[in-house]
Amino acid sequence: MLTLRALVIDDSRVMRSMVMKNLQASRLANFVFVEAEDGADALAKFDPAVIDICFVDWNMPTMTGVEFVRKARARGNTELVPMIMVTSEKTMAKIEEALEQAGANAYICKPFTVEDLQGKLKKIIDRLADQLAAPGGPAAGGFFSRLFG
Amino acid sequence: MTNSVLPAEATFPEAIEAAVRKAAIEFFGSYCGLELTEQKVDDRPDPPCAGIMGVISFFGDSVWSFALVLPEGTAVAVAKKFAGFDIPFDSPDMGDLVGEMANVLAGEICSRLDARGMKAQMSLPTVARGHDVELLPPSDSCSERLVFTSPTGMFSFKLVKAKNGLPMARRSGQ
Repeated sequence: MLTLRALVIDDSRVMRSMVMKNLQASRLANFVFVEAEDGADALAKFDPAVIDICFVDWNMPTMTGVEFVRKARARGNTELVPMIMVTSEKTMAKIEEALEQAGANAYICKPFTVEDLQGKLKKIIDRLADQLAAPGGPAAGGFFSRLFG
Repeated sequence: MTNSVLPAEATFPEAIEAAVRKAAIEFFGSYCGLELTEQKVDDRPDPPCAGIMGVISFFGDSVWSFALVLPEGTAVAVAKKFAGFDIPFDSPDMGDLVGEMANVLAGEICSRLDARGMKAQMSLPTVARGHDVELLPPSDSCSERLVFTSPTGMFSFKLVKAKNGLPMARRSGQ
């Protein structure tokens, strides 16, 4: 199974645990987690050469999740790293802001089930696996170690 | 989004009360597997007990707050259903989880208000735990209380709308 390094950003420790538990239960990949408790903490921990995918809450102190996505994207070299919003904000205006303006790739509303994660993430993770497997891809050298975990 | 504070109202706005009621039934039904029954609210005080309260304020077309108030037994049972694992009442994780439940409910409420053309932005949650924990509204405010029973015990919402000024709350990103 593909191994992915996932940055999980949420100010709630319990919610981070729930996100991580449900992601592992989804069996979409073998996830190795890095945790961040707000957008600023995430920005400090985010390195596109190390992190494969981000799961981002919206409402957090210090820096919101959508600000994190904007700032991370503005750094450049992050287009291959999917940013997945995982948030209780569910109005169309917020969803559009995240997906069309900030640069998030998918939007998952809390609370969610394992099936919700599978439905929203399957294509994204398949695409990520293809990118990682491509010759000269972002982690071509380490792909087989990721693939076999 | 407008930031105007609506004129003083003698009673809590019905549209918001309905959004809270529907959000509660949806959230606890779909995600905690709990069928709720709304209780008639009377003036008698609740029996004293330990409890925990998650408070969220809303800004936008109307400025108001809700407190989700869970007695200890209900909090422990609901937390297990929502999180999928045991969380002791006195642990920091219980505060964290009740804040998150209030946050998810607030998102559902905002979505329901938005569908009715009412813009609302929610604050970060504040959580208080103690004995006879209660949200005390300012004197120039209107409030409403919704009480529900469930197979895991009773819990309630206190809804407060200040007639003047903003409720104190942290907004996200600050």
